[in-house]
Parts: sequence; structure tokens; C-alpha cells
Amino acid sequence: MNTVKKITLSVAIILLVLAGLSRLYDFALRHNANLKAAYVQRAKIDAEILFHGPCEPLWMISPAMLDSQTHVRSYNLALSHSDFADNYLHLYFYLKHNKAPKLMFLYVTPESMDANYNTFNTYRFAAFTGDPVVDSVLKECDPGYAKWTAFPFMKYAWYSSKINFDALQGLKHYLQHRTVPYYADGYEPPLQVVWDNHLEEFIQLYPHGYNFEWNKLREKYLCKTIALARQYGIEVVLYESPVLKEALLYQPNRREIVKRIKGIADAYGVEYVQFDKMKIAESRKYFMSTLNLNMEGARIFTDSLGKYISGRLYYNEFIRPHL
Amino acid sequence: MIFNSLIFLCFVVVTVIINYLLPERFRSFFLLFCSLAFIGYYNIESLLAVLVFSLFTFYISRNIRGNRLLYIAGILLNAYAVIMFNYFFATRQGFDFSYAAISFNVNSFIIALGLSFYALQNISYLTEVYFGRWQPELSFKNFVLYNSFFPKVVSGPVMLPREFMPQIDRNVITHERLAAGFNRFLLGLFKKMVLADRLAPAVHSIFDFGDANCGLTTLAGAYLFTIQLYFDFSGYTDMALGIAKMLGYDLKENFNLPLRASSVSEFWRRWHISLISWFTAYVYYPLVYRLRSYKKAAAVAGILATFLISGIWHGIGITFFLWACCHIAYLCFELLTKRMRSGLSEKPSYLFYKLAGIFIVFNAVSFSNIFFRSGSLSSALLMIKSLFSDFFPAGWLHDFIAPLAVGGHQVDEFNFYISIFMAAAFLLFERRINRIANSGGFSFYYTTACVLLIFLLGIFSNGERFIYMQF
Repeated sequence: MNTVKKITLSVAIILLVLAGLSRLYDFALRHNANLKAAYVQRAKIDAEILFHGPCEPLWMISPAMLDSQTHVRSYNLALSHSDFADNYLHLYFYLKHNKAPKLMFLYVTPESMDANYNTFNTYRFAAFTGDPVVDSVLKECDPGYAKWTAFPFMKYAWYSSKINFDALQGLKHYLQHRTVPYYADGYEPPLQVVWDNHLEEFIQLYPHGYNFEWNKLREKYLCKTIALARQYGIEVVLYESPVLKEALLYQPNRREIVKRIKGIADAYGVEYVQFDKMKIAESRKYFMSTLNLNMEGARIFTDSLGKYISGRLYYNEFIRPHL
Repeated sequence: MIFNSLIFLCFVVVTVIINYLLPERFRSFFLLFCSLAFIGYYNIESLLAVLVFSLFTFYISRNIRGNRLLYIAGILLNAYAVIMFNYFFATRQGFDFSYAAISFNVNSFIIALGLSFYALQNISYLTEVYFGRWQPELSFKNFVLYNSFFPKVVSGPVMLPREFMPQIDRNVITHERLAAGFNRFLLGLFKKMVLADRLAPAVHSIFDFGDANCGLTTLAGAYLFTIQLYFDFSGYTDMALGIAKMLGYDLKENFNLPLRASSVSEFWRRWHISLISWFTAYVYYPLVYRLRSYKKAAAVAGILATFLISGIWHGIGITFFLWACCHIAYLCFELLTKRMRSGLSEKPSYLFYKLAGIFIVFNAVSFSNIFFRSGSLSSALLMIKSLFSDFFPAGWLHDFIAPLAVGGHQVDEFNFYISIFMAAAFLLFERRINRIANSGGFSFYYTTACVLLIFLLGIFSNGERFIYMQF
């Protein structure tokens, strides 16, 4: 075989294998029950209450515990390290296949508005490119990725270290006919339950405190998420779980940012509930980091949240959490 | 535009095709244009720096014969540039000049792409011309190309004038060269994207969040960093050599299976060869020759000077100084125990002696790399301290994996094991892979396998910068 034939054959095989792999990954990822983006589009969850946001709601709010209190079905749609664009797309996926819930609790804090906290996790949506909504968000939030996805398999190669494992797991789930995820109600008990020294490192890094930066893209997708929910008739509640009080000393403009968040809530006519007066906010023994409650703290908070939701659902009134 | 970015890949493809199609006499002009565009794309200060330093050195070289003062001035100018570059890099400070509407930050000027590499080339060029071993270059265009040739400007290899200059006007590109260059480039891309960048998160978590590491974790971190550094830098070199070959140039080899060296002196004959041969030619030999009457002491002085300067070249800071001290100690030990060890090598089997040597050298180099990688003396000392206390606690594997799993559950563990497997497999078959990569023909299996593995396992998204870009 001469060189030209060899090169042609090699290029053809590479393109063919990449196209085949791309199909295989599409299939496998869509069958991975542990991926929320895939799961909510395959399973009928039909929850009455949704909890949404980054790791704080994911690790703190157990639907199983809440459901026994509120007697309605809830689902935790939150994902670790996610920003509002990430939340927006997951809500979009959920609503495509499930009936709209009555209530949605969306976690919003000054940290959520700052691009230095959490991020848009493009790889979670790789298997769903081609959907115009997904494509437009990807183009805006990760233009570098969006530019190259037309090339065979590049949508998976780009974040291969995040995707290969999920694809293999998806294949396993398909072969084992597994449809229920490891965490069926979306809640993930935190792996780390001890204090993580994050505050100490934070103080070392910013001895004079840290001023939050308001990110326009975050604001845009917060608004889009609220608008999408309301389009489906969902009542949206923005909330902030307890924040370790001593950490607030190092956040000079926290109040100012909270005021701006309240401004957005007012503009959309939704409530912004802060559980900042809870006693647990005063002691480190309930936290594993400044924003994340540990198991015990989360249990107390969830209990308060349950009372709040019950009041909201059955008496249409606000029951103040334990102070 | 770093070497492992998709935009650079497009740049290389276009450059190689146009350069191939151009008549030979226009190629140097075209490559000069591409090189300056490449540097200018990085930042305009780097472009200015390469032009200014080339102009000064070129001018000095034309008038240097018999003018010792001018020669020393030229050497000092380039040496000063390296020192200032490293000083500003170490301190991350700068001077702000403001005059009327013009404000200028020296820091951004000094941190110029590849300055410490082409400054060394300039020093060797001036030395060769001063001592009459090389005729001063008549064409400024050729001289700027010597300094700015884009495959090597970022991190070398450091080329002597006699190794590079003659190639400018004898630029021949054959299909065989194109194939060999492509094979080499692909190998470099594979080493960087599949091996080095995959090891980076583990190294990062051990070195940068390793306040409470136990001894075995520190040791694993040092091993992993040595391997990462090797794949990162040799990957860059393979890419540079491959691109240069496709453009009709032969650059100097920088690595020759260094992790198989059985003595530290052998290691330095196989690791960063172009830099060490530069130091040997312009620091070690002149000094040893001057002090030759002191015999072994002269060699010790030569090692001392070479590695202290090498340490400063890598960076101004106590950690680089201690890294250099480690290698000075290793090499002096080898020099002084040479006779004893040569007797030893005959007793047990050669294979055992060789394997033991490889193990000891790898450990010694990895130990010194703790200083090389640590951001500060305190963190380096903390890591070294951990080597001698609580070396192997119960549940080590779980604790070792835990810091790698930053929000990924088993994903990071999976990635870590894949990386270790790939690195080990590569090191095992390295000689055979290198043989294919250096062959002049198109290898169907090699190319297909490399490209598919890069797509499957390569890090595209946040490709790490090359470690040696900082020097």
C-alpha cells in the first residue's frame, strides 16, 4: 500500500471510529441513571416541590426527610459546583419530561452571583447538544467548546476526563437495565462531614475580607431560570440557607449584594427567604464549611425548611424557622 | 497560543503547507514572519524584546572582534536580561514608569516569551564570534530568525549558531522529512495531552494542598511530578523538533530516555541535553580548564559553578538554589566515589547494578524535584519532613485517593488509575515508540492509535501550560 492510500485509510478509520464513538457516548450517557440531566429526561419524577442550586442544597436537603413532614413528593435537582446557567438547563430538561412542580426552591446567595464561585459545567450537557436551547447556552457560557463541537467526537474529547467514566457507567447501566440512580431522590449526603479549614484558608488569602463581584451572566441566567419556572406556573422561592456568622466579618459587601438579589426577587414578584437568623449559624459545630452545614446542621435546617414549606402549602403562611 | 491548543494546531498546519509550497528562497522570510506573528500573538512586549535583544546582539557581534569590552558588555546585557526576567518572575513585581501619556510596566516587558532561552543563544553566538570560531552573521533577518524561530522560541532547545545558521539557507523539505516531523509532533502531543496533563491534577493536589501529607503520599507526589515534568518537557521538545523538521530544520535532541539513567551524571547527559551542553561548553569546561592544576577540585568547582548558574537560570529563589545544591551534592559524590563504584559494578550482575542505579537516581532526582516544584521553602521543608515521619499510615490508599476526588467521587480515581497505567505502559515501551516516532515513513498503526488515544484520553479543555514556559 502506498503512502497516500495509507494516509487516506488512516484518516477514514479515525473519522469513522470517532463518529462511532460519538454515537456510543451519546447512547451511553443518556442511559446513565446517575446523571441528573439524563435521568430527569427518562424517568417520571413528577415531584410537587423541587430544590435547585449548587452543592449546598444538594448536600443539605433530603427529600425523604422533608416528604415525611410535608406529605408531598419532592425532588432535589441541585448539582455540585453549578451556576445558574447549569441550573437553568437542568430545569429545562426536567420540565421537558415531567409535570411542573408547585414550588421550586432555588438557592441564591451573594456567592452565587460571583463568577469566582461555582461554574458552568459544560460536560454535563455534551450528550444533549443539538437541542437549540442547550446549544445557545453552551455558546454563551463556553464559547471555546461550542466552536469545536462540530468536529467528530470533539464534544466528548474536550472534557474527556469528566466524561469517560460517565459513559462507561452509562453503558453498564444499560446492560444491567438499571434505571434508578444511586441517589434516587437527588439528595447526596456529603462525603466530608468534618470542618474543612476553608475559612482559615480564606482569611489567609483575604485578610481584609473579600468583596463579591456581581456577574452579569449569572444575573441573566438567574432571571431566565425564574422566568422559565414561572412560564410553567411554578411558584419560585429564592432562599439562602444558614451561613456561618463569623465568616460574614470577612465579606464587607455581602449586604449590598443581598439587596441586589432582593431587587431581582421583587422585580419578578418572588420571595427571597434567608435562614440567617437560625441559631445554628452561630456555631462551627454545625458546619463543614462556611456555607455547607454538616449532617447535624443540615438535619436541623431541613426540619425548619419542612415547617416553612408545610405552612406555605397548607396554610399559605410563613412559619418562621427556629430562631 | 500554546503548543497544545487547537489554534496552534491550525497555525502549524497552515505554516507547514505554505512553507512547503513556497520557493526555497522565500521560506526564511515567511518563517520569520510566522515566528514574529507567533510571538506577537503571545504579547507585543515579547515581540519587542526579541527584536531589541537581537538588534543589540547583532550590532555588537559585528564589532566584537578584538574588543573585549564590547564582548563583556554583550554577555552582561544578555545575562542581565535572564536575571531580571527570573527576578521579576520570582517576585511578580515591576516598576511602573509614567511619562506624560505614556505609562509602561517593566514587569510585563521583562516577562517575555523565551527570553532566557534566546539570551543563552546570544551569549554563545557572541562567544563564538569573539573567539573567531564563527563568522558574524551578515543578515539581520537570519539572526532574528535564529532567535525567534517559533518551534524553539518558547522553551528551546538551545541551539548554537553552527547548529542552526547553516540550515537557514539550505532548507530542504522532503516527503520523508514531513512524515518524520509529523510522527515526532504526534508523539509530543500525545505525551503532553495524554500523559503529562493527566498526571497534573494528582501532582497539584499533593503539592498545593498537601499540608498534612504522610510520607508515602509525598514520595508518590515527588515521583509523579518527576514523570509529569519529563512528559511535559520532552513532549514539548518532540513537538518543537517535529514542527521544525516539517519546516526543513533539524533541532537538537533534548532528551534521551533520562529516566533510565543509572547515575546522576548520566541523567544529566540525557535530560535537557541542549541546556546542559551549553553550560558544559561555556561554564564547566572553561572553568575546569583554568583550574586544571587542582585536578578533582577543579571538577568540583566546575560542577558547583554550572549548577549554581543553572539554578539561577531556572529561577531566583531559595527553592531553585536548594534544587541546584542537591544536584551538586549528587554529582560531587559520584565524582569522588567513582573508583569505588566501578569496582562495585563488577561484583553483582550488571543487570542488578543497572536496575539499582536507575532506582537510586530516580529517587534522588525526585527528591530534588520537591524543591523544584514547591512554591516556597516552608512547603518544601514540610513535605520533606513528612518523608521521615508517619511514612505509611493505615488506610493510606484511601487517604491518598481522597484529595484527588475533588467533587468527582470515583471519576477522579478512575482518571488517576488510567493516567498511571498509560504512563507506566509508555515508559515500558518508550524505546520502541521513539523508534517509530523517529522513522521517516508514515506509520498507519502508530498514527491511528496516537490520534484515537489523544481524542479519547487527551486533555483538551484546560490544557496546562508547559512547565518550562516559565523559565
